[in-house]
Amino acid sequence: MVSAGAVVEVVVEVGGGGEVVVGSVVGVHAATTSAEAATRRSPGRRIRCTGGSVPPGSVGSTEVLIPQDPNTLHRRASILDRLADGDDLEVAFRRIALGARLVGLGWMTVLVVLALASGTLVRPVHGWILGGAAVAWGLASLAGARRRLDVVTARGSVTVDIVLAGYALFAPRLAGAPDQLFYGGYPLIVVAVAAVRSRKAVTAAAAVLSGLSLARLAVGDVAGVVEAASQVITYTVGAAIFWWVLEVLRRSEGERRAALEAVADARARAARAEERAEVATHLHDSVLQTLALIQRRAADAEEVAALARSQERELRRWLFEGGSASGDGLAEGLRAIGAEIEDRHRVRVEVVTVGDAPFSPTVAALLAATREAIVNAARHSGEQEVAVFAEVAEGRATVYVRDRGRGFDPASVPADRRGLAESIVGRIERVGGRVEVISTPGRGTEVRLEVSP
Amino acid sequence: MKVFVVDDHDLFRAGVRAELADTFEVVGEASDTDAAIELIREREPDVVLLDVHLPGGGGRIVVEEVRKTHPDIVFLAISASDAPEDVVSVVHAGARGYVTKTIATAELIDAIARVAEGDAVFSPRLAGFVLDAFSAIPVGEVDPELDSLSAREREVLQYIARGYTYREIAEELYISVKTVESHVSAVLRKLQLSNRHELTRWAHQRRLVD
Repeated sequence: MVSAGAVVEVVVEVGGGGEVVVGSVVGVHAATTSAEAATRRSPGRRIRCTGGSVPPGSVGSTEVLIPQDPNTLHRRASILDRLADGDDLEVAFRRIALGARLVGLGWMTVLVVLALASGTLVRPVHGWILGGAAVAWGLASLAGARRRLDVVTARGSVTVDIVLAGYALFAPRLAGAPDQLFYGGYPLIVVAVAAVRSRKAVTAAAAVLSGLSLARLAVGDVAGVVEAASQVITYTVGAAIFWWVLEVLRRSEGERRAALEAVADARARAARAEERAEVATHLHDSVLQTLALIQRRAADAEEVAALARSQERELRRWLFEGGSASGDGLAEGLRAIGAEIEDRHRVRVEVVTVGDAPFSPTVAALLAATREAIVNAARHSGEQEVAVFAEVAEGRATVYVRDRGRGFDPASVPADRRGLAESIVGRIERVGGRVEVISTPGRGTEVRLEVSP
Repeated sequence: MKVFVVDDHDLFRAGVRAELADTFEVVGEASDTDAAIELIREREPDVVLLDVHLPGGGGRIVVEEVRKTHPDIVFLAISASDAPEDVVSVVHAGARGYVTKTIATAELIDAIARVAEGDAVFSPRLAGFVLDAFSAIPVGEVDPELDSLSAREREVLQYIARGYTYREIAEELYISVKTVESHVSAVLRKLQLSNRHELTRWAHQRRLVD
């Protein structure tokens, strides 16, 4: 029956039929805002807003992209966690780059040592230089990474890699044994490390190494065109593949973060909206009611002062002590509310309770909604008596508020009658309860409130 | 019809006396248990309007003592805001009904007339107390005839607690007013014959909790 103040659940639909509840918000407006936020942050997946009392179609569905279902997102996150502190993809990439560089340098060192041992090098000094440089660079890189991981893919490091790989390509010729092979997998690894750094770096690495391979063909080092071509293809295609794989991983990580942010954002928005609704409801129940009373009794200065004083007390308590000033439980709270309304509205409130429920947020909501229902009866029924009956049994608390007054047609209540809509129905639905209003013109009204405390 | 008023509150007695004077013959009043027992036996009213809370042991003593010698005298309990166990104990002792002091004059007159005719008069509050008392009796220890309410009786009591009159209940449940009355009388009979031990225990627990 209500819509403006209804609870709306924002649901993000994900693959495989699963859905994630992003949060519950109050009101169609808040739901739309929340859905829009999620849409902005992660284009592509579907966001659906549902609410028990929202008329179908009043909240639009939007296409929103969340790359994978959150379970997978979390699973991947845990793998990342193991590789990188704090779930950072770039940290993981740099660690992999460092490991690859060390493998490449080690591989190269082994080849050089084998060549030196075989005694086939005419000028072994180049073998010593290359082997020494490989070991030194490996140790320096490791030491640098221990201090700061960024160093692994710093411009200088990538330059050292390219120079060393270039030297490794020509070292056999310089050593007088052009048929030897020193570089192993190092040049390809250099391309990969450069790919972690940047697009420019990987392009440079692939270009330099391909150029040097062609130069070797020109000076006659390489067995033939086929080998030179295959090296060029390896470096250029390798560069493209490395870059592509890294880009895919980076983009998907970005989306994962955006999705998680969107969820967190929607939750925060929902919490804020709920809080706003709570404050609005409270102000409506207390301050606005008192102001209305003050206007009606403006002639009676004493009464006005008393009303203002009591409202001030109540508002202070609500602001500074947090929450309603109800007693120990449902029964005590209802009696206090009945007494208060008897004083303020000059009607008789007969409170009957069977069983009791300890104070909780749900009971607080039930008390607040009951209070509003009694006030409505006191103000609109035209009768001097309101009957309140509460029964707690089998895990349910039910409150009936009944008057024998003029009644109304529930179907004809205008949407802006906030009292019934937000203060009663909104409150009860927010804590998962139900509200039923039975009223017939001329035959009184009964409001039935049910929750599971 | 002769009515006797027992209440320790002078102003209340005077007020009730004035309210009832036009309809009934108020044959006497008392403000404590001993005087009440003695005067009621002497004046033999049809109905005693009895305050639940009285100096000298409470309204329950008056009902128990008077009924030993005058079982035909009918009691209607009345109170401001007494503990449920006190109210239930007065009804348990034999009062035909219970109303609160905030009751309107016309309703009080109607209630007195009805108990005099043998009907049970349940105020919403008494209905609540009785539902509470019966729900506190543990299942399994009950004599189904006496210690538990039927679904219909429970329903009728709930309507009373919600502020419905017998006529309104009859309309809601599509039964006659007479049937509603017989359900209420049945509840009253069960309450008065119910296992004294269980009710005492219920009252005791209430006291500990309150």
